[in-house]
Amino acid sequence: MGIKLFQPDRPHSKEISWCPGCGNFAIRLVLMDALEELGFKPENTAIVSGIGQAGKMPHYINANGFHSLHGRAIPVGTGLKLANPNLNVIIVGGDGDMYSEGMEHFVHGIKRNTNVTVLVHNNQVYGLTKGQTSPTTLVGTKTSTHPGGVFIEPINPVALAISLNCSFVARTFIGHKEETKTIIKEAIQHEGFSFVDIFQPCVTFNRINTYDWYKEHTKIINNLDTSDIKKAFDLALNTNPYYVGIFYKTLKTVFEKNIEGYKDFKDPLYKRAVDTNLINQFIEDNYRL
Amino acid sequence: MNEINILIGGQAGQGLNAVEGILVKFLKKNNYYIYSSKEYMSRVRGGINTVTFKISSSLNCSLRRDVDIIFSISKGVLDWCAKEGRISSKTISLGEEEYLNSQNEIKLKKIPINLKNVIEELGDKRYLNTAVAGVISGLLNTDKSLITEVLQNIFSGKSEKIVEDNKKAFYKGFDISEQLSSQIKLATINQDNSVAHKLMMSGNDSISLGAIYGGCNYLSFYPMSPATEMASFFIKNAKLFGLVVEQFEDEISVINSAIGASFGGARSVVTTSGGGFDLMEEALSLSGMAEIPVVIHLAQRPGPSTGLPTRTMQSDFNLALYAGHGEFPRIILAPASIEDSFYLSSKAFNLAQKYQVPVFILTDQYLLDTYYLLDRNNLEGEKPQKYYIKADLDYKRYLLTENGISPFAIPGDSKGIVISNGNEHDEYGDTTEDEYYSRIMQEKRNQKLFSIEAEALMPKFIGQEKYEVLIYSWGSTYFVIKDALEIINDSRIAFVHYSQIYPINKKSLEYFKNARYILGIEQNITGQFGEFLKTKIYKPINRKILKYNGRAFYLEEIIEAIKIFMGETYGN
Ligand SMILES: Cc1ncc(C[n+]2csc(CCOP(=O)(O)OP(=O)(O)O)c2C)c(N)n1
Ligand code: SF4
Ligand SMILES: [Mg+2]
Repeated sequence: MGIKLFQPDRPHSKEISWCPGCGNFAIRLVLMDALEELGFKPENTAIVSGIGQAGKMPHYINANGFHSLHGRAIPVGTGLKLANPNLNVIIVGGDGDMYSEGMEHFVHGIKRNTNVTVLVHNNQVYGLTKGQTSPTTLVGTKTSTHPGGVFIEPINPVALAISLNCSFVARTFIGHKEETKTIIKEAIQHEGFSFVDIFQPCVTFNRINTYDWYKEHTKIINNLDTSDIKKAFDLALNTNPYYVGIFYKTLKTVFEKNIEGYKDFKDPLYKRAVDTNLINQFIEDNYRL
Repeated sequence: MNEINILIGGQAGQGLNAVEGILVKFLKKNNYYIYSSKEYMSRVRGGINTVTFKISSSLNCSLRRDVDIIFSISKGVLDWCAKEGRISSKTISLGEEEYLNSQNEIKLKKIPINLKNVIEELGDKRYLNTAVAGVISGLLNTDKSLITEVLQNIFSGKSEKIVEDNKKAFYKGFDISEQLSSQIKLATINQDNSVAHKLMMSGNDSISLGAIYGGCNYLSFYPMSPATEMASFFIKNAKLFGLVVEQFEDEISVINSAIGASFGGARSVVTTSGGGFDLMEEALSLSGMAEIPVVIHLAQRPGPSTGLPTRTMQSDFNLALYAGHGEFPRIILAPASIEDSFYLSSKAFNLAQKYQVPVFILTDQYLLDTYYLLDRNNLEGEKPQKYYIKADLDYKRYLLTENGISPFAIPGDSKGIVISNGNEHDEYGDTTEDEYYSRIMQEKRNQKLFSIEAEALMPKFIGQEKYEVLIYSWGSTYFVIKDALEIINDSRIAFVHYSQIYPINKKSLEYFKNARYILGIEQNITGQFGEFLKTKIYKPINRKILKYNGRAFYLEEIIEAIKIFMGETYGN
């Protein structure tokens, strides 16, 4: 256990504003551990987050960070990765962040397949805005949006990701710390768009999906051939219990490795100098007619 | 000045671009000054699109309404031109007989030309465009043998036969119109040897190349006229210049990715138009708060909503000025010309980096789709300056400084870490609601505006020291007003043209103090820039000359409107 390298020491990084008992604390510790164990350094790691309780993560870690906009962590993280593929980019957000406000980016992020890791703190509720229905709130749950109970079926992000042939798909429950750490480590190491849905109890607003509930309703995946998309999809559709573990892995064309801008030039964008001679020559060749 | 104004009209998909491509190159080879501008419909097939060429003996960069020759390559062109008001008593129309018919009675000289038969001999309809270029070239005093080189250039990589057949088609057209010379009297245009040394470039290419010259290396976009062409330029040249280009799923991701890239040290640009930019507003505000540079190429077209997708307007000044919630500094540039496009586009990236703010380049369809000859020397850019430092272990992304500018560091470039934040923050970038930071960070961001203002570009001023009437304008209307004033030649009138429209240089307000009457010229219905100026000049604007039908100002219109004002004000 390291948790030294990524432990922040900045004045406003110490007073963590999550509710006592919130699942986010454990996710933070697991993430710091995973990064250290993988040998990453704060300066070559970047945590890009959206807005929500999960979105506060960059402030509680010693690494580059960008706390951006609700729903937009994936595009921001994508741009960052394209500007500098040497950075280890971890994109963090809540279920509202990723599956509602930013759903289009989730789908297209999977399609684009940049080598980033996406961690979704799925507490099945809107935490920061105080308990509204989220895209993953279960039918029957009473929320401030649906005081009589949610009656519309939730989104199944894991099945969705698999259906899109996402490069790496996993689900974990933060109550299983060691397993979660192993999976996050594998997600980070996987080359391509790696997606981990993390069941994270919100002790304040979600009275249904508690630590005990998750313990009872999840089952660790055993002996699965993670290259078999059909089996993975089948497993993902199961909601009683919810399977946790790695569902699916596939190596696909990685976006930034195949774009023109990185064919003859390998440096991150900020290191590229403008070649004025090349531009002058281009003008001579194309506009004198 | 002697000039010949030629309009070629046809349906979308008929190859007007091909005619334009051949003509521009051929006429330049013949040492003529050329100006070309397009207007087209938002459709891929059918409709009426037109290209206007002006041939002259010296630099000439404004759009003229009255055309000398209309060449129809489809039905309906004459009706269209009549409605557009482009036909004068002197206009002559050419084309296949059937294309010279019009639904409404139009009085003009019609000269039928039979090219179809001619082309049938060559066995390929596509040669028609080359023959049309031949007919037009034949009307002018040109050396037809120069076409070989032009065709070799256009069809480089294609077979010798294609070049030969195109040459035959060109010659056939050329020979036909030589026989017409007795029927068509055109102004004499002198050839000028210096044309050979000039460049022929479109506004779009100038904006794009200027950006690359300014160090831009990241472009994200979602297709939208007239902004897409810049992306196309980047895509075509991505490998050569090492540019990252991506078409994102929507404009929201376009700008958020650009901001992410800038956070990582890229010099990023987004290229979009009204509706697309509307979707970017929240992220514009993020750029303001997180102090991350981003350049926004906002290519204007008429709105509201989808409006007229392929036409021109200057109606998004207010949008650029007021977009985004909260308060934060920004910079808005609006190139006057193709030359200015290169300069401002390159400069935009330095400004964005230096002040860590969003910078707009406001262009419009007219500017982007216009070509004319320019001097290589006038295509000057600003070289990229380095505005970042290495972060130390105690790096503060939002360090409080006297001028509000905190040294910018790039993640991964050194041992220190960088934290950016769209929430209010302390100096390190961590979220806080502390009263001190809540206040001081607003002041810090706002403070940057004073330095930005201090180096704001002065507008161009044309006029005598003493004048009575001051005309103001901004963006792409520069040449048409300048040329109009040269023709009017009235020393009582001066002209001030803004290329940096926000913040404006305060010294420029002096120009308004010295004027008795103030006249605005803009391509929108409310005179947005004038309304903004009013809050600075504390004077009424005596007249606004406004055009808002999606078509660029014609030289004649400006002359007429100014003359009317002068007549009403001073008597005839
Ligand atoms: C554009 C926009 N809309 C709405 C909000 C308000 N908002 C902040 S966080 C949030 C939802 C939070 O839920 P989730 O993403 O699940 O994160 P959690 O707090 O549960 O971790 C909302 C709606 C916002 N910040 N921005
Ligand atoms: S509201 Fe819920 S998710 Fe947010 S900090 Fe509290 S427990 Fe955690
Ligand atoms: Mg949530």
